[in-house]
Amino acid sequence: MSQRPSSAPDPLKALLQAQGLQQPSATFTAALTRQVVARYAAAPIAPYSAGTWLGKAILLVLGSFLGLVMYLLPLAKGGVLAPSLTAAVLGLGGMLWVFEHARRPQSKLGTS
Amino acid sequence: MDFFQPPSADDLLLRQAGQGQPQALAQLVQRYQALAYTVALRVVSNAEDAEEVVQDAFLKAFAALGQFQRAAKFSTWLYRIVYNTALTKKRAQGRPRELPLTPATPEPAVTSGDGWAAVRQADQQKYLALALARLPADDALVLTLHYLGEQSIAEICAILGKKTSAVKMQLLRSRQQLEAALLQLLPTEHQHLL
Repeated sequence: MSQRPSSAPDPLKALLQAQGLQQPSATFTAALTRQVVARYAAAPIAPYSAGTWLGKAILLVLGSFLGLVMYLLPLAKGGVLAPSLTAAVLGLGGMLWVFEHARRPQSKLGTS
Repeated sequence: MDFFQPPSADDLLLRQAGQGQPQALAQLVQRYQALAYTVALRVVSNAEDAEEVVQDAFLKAFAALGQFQRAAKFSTWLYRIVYNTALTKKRAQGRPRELPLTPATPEPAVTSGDGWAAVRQADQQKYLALALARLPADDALVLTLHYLGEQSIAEICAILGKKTSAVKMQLLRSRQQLEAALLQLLPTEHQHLL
């Protein structure tokens, strides 16, 4: 079974522990930390700015079209077109929201 | 991993590091670099090579984190990588380098105003470092892992790739050798130390 160093006073253990662990130089530790972080920290999210702007433009056009349909067409005709337009606006809006808020940074750990 | 056990600090750090959080990555390096360096130093006997080994080992460990089996502790897995990397480095050197006559010892921390106590502590550390340097590298390594690194016998077996009985025997022999080395270096003061 796994055996931990006993908790009873052990002079050899005390002597070794008084000596402590060897430490690498502070310069080395700082350089290693920087290297690990630079290599494996997740890159900040690059927003899909072009896609987001295009999506917002389409959303605006669809929204305006929906408004026009509701305002200009009589209820009988507008009632047929309005639900699909509303669904399109909501769907596209939802997709944009997911793109902007729900994406997580991709870590590079364990990938090489 | 036990379903009912709350995640350990290591698990949390590993999870955060897995998400690429810089603080978690830096903390993992800070937490394990001292024992990793000491292990490497015991094998390669040279500060420069030991630093190189530690750097290689950390990069290898983070690159292969996907292969890490959560059944073992991260530290055990990391120290095994450090040990194997150090062995490879030592083999690549061919002939083992000569150990320095006065091995590097950490500066003793003076905790009180008692100057004599500080001198005594510094002397103790110097002679202990000399005694450890007289031991075969593997024996000094086992003592370091068990008493300084607080690694269990099972963990040492996993790190060194040895059987339990072999590690137990080695630990016993290393203790006796260290005591003998201290006795040789400090024939009169030895009894006050141990």
